[in-house]
Amino acid sequence: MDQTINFISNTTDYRAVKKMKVNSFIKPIDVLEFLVSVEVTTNLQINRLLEKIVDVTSFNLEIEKLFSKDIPSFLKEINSGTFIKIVEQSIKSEYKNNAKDVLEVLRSYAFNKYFIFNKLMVDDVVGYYKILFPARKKQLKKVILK
Amino acid sequence: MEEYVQFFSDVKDFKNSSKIELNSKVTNIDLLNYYISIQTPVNRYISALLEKVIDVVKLDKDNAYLYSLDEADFLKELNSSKFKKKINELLEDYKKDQKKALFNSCKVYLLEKYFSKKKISPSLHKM
Repeated sequence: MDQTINFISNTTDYRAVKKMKVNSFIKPIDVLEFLVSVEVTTNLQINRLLEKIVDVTSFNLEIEKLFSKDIPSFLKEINSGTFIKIVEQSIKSEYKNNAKDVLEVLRSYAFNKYFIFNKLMVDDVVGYYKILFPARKKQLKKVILK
Repeated sequence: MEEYVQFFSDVKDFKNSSKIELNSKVTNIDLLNYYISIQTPVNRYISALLEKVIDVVKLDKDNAYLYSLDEADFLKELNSSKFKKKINELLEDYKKDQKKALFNSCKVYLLEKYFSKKKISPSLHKM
């Protein structure tokens, strides 16, 4: 019996449909490639939403000041009260009371930027969403290169 | 028009079903948290699938020393030509393009495992 994996976004800002039927002819690597493409999409949407919630320009300017630190020092900084203040200053006015809700994702976001700025991984492959699988090369390249 | 985002999987070892309907009460933060709630299990299942595709569990066990290294040494080792050779030994049967993608997947697998112990990820999902 076929099993399915579906991702559907039907919003004014973003429309997408990704569907896969999983049956005995489908190999684990096929499902893996499909889910990587889903992660490319969800990652992109997370970044777009962060831009609506936070003034990412000023946030990025603040976190860039920390990029010269070594990893343990950088991690200590993003777990400090100073980082919380950066988040509170960068968050847009309508979300001022929700700084705590985005703190964890902004820590990961800052850590992601740190990795890429310092070129810590070859080809900046810091997550599965950055990987180009052959079957989806065209689609993924268009998104990753944005 | 009903606006929504939905994720569904009834795959045997990956069952997941969620939906968020957008209305005036749903904020961008709600939607952000929803996307993270999809990305987190998807990311986890990608790692689980990788374990079926190649013997990354053996690679991990045979290189347990990596987890005793500090962050800089871990990354230096992970990006070294010596380690590249170890990973490529698992990928001999694959064609060039797929080999490169799986090679990078192995590195991400180990990277995420290492930093999960520090409860942070350079990707936007929960640990």
